[in-house]
Amino acid sequence: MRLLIVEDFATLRDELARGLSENGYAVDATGDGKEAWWYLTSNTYDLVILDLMLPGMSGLQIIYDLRKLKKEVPILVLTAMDAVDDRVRGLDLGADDYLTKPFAVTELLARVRSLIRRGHDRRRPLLEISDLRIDTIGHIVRRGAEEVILTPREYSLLEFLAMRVGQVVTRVELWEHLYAFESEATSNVLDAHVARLRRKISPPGTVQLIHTRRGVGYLLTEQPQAE
Amino acid sequence: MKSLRMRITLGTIASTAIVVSLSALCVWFASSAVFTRTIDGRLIDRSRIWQERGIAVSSHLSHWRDVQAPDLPPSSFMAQILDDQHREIDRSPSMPSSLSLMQILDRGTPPGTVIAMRLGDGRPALGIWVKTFSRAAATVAGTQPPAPDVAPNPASSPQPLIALIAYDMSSFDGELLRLGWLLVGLWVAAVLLSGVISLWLCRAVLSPVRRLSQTIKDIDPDNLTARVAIDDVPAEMMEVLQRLNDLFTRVEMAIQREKTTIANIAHELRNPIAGLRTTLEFALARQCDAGSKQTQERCLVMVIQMQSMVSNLLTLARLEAGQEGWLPEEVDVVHLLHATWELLAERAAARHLTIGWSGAEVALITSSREQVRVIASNLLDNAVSYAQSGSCVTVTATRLDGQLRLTLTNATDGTLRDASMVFRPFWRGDQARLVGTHCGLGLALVERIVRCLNGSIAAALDSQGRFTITLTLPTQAPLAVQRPIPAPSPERPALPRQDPGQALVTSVTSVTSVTSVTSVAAGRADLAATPGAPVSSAGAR
Repeated sequence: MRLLIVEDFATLRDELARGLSENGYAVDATGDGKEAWWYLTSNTYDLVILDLMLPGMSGLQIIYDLRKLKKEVPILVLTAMDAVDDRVRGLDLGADDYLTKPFAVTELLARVRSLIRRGHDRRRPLLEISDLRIDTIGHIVRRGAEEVILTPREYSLLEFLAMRVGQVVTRVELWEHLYAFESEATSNVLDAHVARLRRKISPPGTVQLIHTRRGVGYLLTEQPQAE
Repeated sequence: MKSLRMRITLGTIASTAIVVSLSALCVWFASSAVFTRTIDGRLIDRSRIWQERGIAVSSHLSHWRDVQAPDLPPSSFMAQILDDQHREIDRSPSMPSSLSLMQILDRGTPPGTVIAMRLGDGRPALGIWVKTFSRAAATVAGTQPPAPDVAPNPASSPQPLIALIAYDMSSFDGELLRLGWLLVGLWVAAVLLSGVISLWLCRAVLSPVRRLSQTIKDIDPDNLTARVAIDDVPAEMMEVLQRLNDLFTRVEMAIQREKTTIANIAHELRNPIAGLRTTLEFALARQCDAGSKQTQERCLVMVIQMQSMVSNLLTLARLEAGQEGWLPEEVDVVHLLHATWELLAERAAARHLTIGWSGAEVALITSSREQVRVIASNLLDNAVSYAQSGSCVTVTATRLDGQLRLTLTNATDGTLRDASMVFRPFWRGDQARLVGTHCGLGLALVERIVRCLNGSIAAALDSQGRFTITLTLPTQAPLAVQRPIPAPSPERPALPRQDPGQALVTSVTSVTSVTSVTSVAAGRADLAATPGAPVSSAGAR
């Protein structure tokens, strides 16, 4: 999942970016409102973590303009402004959630997961495809009774495909949602990740869940598919 | 303390009384002196005439009426004529035979000197004596009375005589007494009149002061924007009132500045605290050696304490600036207290504390759930932190007329000496920080919240060292603090670029975030803020 962190306090921004990356998210980060607007209009994100007090362009303005452009990206407002009026104003403008500083990281991570799920029209934290179970809270994947050990990147890939279960996910979409803007990964890397993931979750003797649509992308489904 | 009206009235009456008294005394003494001097003059004049011209002594003394001073009443004028052997030769008809004026001589006064004396029957009198001589009887014979001022005839061998003259002053004293009573009557009338006039004047003159006093009295102490209306006030008071209003403005600005500064500081600290906490919590999730992890955990505990303090400071600043508002809802205070105690049960058990509940089992009030939660958290946390180990904390809820009374009692360990101080911000009974992680803001916060909810709170320490906090909350939240959240506008809403401090001072409410520190110490990963946990609460004790 790809996140954009817009936070003008550099230390917090860097720590958030680092910590969220370690939790398997592809993270872009900026401290400037106008630059954030550019990121948002140039890329696709699963979630925006947005401060309100920003140089260049205020967070509230960004929310308003984003919704005006009919962009449905979930927005988590992360700000020191904790008054009810501020929260109401942010939420009424189109923010999906509001968290005041200082916050507990576990709470932030929970809200991030929740918002990402909601962004993909999912409510349950447990994703099930056939006998594949993905616990989005603990990042634990099981195929049948066996736990599947995945790297953060592989987990992100699987989670994204699982969120779009039954739908073909294009390579571009995968690219956009799994790699940060400054990532130097190439398309071969994506293919390699998919291949490794496929081997891990579908060992010999099990039903293949990830299918390739040549020239288009990938599909996660429990229905047998002709490759 | 005497009122201004009383002071002015009493002052006016007293000054009138003094002035009238002095005037009356002057009149009285002046009258007395003038009259006495007149009598003295007459007596001296008469004695001189007799001394120089002698007395025409006749056998029947029919001339007495002629020798009296013409301007003195005859009945009061008395004279006794003695020969040189002090034998009485004659006396005036006005002088009863039982009286004698010999005392004038007996007192050894020199001749020609007026003395005050009392007659034999006790009447006051003035007396004088002179040496004179008798004139020839021929000078007084015939039908015509002798002229008293005719020069004596030296050829008639005058006989030495002594003339004793007295003037009965009783009638004069009576006049003086009447004058005295008249003056007393005038004094009383003047004092009464001055009292009535001063009361009327006070009423008229002090009317603007009374109105002003009422206006100032009606000003809510928490309303810093209130000013005294200066329309229709006397010119003499205008400047004072303007100065008073200026003073109010300066006080308001000073307090506003202080609150804004505190709010700004607290707000500005949120970002670095958030950065610190995020850094530590992410670091704790990473693999590292046990020593580093322990250090990080300790740092995190301190960061969370700082966060609590900042949050409490911010809430306090908002409460004191009157900017806290909330939506009223139905709250069961007893249930909330039970729930809060559950959160503290682990810490209470560690100190072998028990809790006893009494009174109402359900206590519904319409108020702010969040603020009541903060009250419950801080009160119980305070008790858990500072109650004597192994003791019992008692909570009693009583419903009164439109009010809920909560009483929380616990035994103390003796560190608390003055219960009246516990509501002061940053006051700590335990200066050495032997127990608790508090900074002394919790009970101050409770006191402000209770005040904002139109309730009251008091703390007491009895002789057995039992600390009791009693608070009453109205069952209906005051309308002043109820502030509905504005409905979303379909139009484009304003997008203010606010200054952080300004944003804070214009905000509506804040929830004192409370976070469990014990979970960090226990090495637990769930460091999420736990509403109701009382670490951020106070440590006033």
